[in-house]
Amino acid sequence: MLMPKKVKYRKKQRGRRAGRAKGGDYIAFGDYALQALEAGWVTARQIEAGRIAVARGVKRGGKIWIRVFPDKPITKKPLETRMGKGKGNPEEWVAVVKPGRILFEIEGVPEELARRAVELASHKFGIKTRFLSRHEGIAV
Amino acid sequence: MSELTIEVEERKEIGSGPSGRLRAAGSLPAVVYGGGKDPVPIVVDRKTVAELLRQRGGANAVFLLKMAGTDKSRHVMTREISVDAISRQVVHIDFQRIDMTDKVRVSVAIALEGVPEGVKTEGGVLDFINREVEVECLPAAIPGSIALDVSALLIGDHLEVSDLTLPEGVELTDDAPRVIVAVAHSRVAAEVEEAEAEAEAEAEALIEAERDEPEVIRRGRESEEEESAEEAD
Repeated sequence: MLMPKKVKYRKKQRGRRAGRAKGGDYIAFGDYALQALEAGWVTARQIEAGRIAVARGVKRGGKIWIRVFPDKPITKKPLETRMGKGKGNPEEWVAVVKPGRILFEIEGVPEELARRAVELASHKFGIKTRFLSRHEGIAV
Repeated sequence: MSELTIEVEERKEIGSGPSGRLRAAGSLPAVVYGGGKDPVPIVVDRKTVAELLRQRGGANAVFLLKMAGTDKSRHVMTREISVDAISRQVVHIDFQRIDMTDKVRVSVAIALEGVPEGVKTEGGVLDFINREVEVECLPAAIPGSIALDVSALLIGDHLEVSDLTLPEGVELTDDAPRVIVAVAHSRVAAEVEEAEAEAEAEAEALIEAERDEPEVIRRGRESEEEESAEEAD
């Protein structure tokens, strides 16, 4: 699963998720993409499950890009522990996702196959997402 | 390309607040710059411009801007079109003043033609690495796209910028050896399943190993310790 190799600090504060994605909100590499429509934390496990779903969906061929990286450690206190005594231990890694952020990109497969693969992957995330195509023009 | 005329008005108020009000009223904030003159904030009709951009494919479209209520007009080219990532609506346009007799440097889209032989018969994957190429030409001669025939490509083959056939009057300013498209090996289904099984086993091992934390960079503390040791000496 994705996680940083080196970090400067073991634990991070929770932060806020207001606003839109500042970058990574357009299709940069592939032809089709999965785009987040809500803000949320996407865990490394969800990203891995999504990657497997897309890889199975496109079966033969295709190229996949993962456009998010879980670089935020989430800490948890052990069960049945009294409050206090400091912050818990890092348990998982998440990517902070804001509306508009591209999660996955696919290239080299027909649109129907890409649509189906992206739909399968979309069920792995706890946020609303949509299929996006490079060939979709601007809305009037 | 035929010439299209857009009627514009000068924008008196600038900033996100007035721009938001303009968008709510069905207009679109834009700016005209370049040509050795000061930039001028303008307002255009959103629907008209979006429709024209759809017809022209957006990038590098040449228009004649006509200032409403005056007889002032100027040739411009779209330099940047800001599109809202979620609603897919245009939110702002940058127009650059151009002289129809001076050459301009623009990025033109590459349109692939045909299905590579390596994809049809050998099960390869077409990788479209660079989708645009930089060229120099007169504004009236800007091509909508440059066609590139990929039907003869086999697995392991690639096409470079130098392989493009440019229309007359268009000069290449991009790096000639830059790869545009390549046909790579595709993992067949069996390999995919094998790799997935491996990946799953790996993932399970990783779940266990997940408790292992990444290395913490302790350079600051180390250097502090070194400094204090030096001071003690």
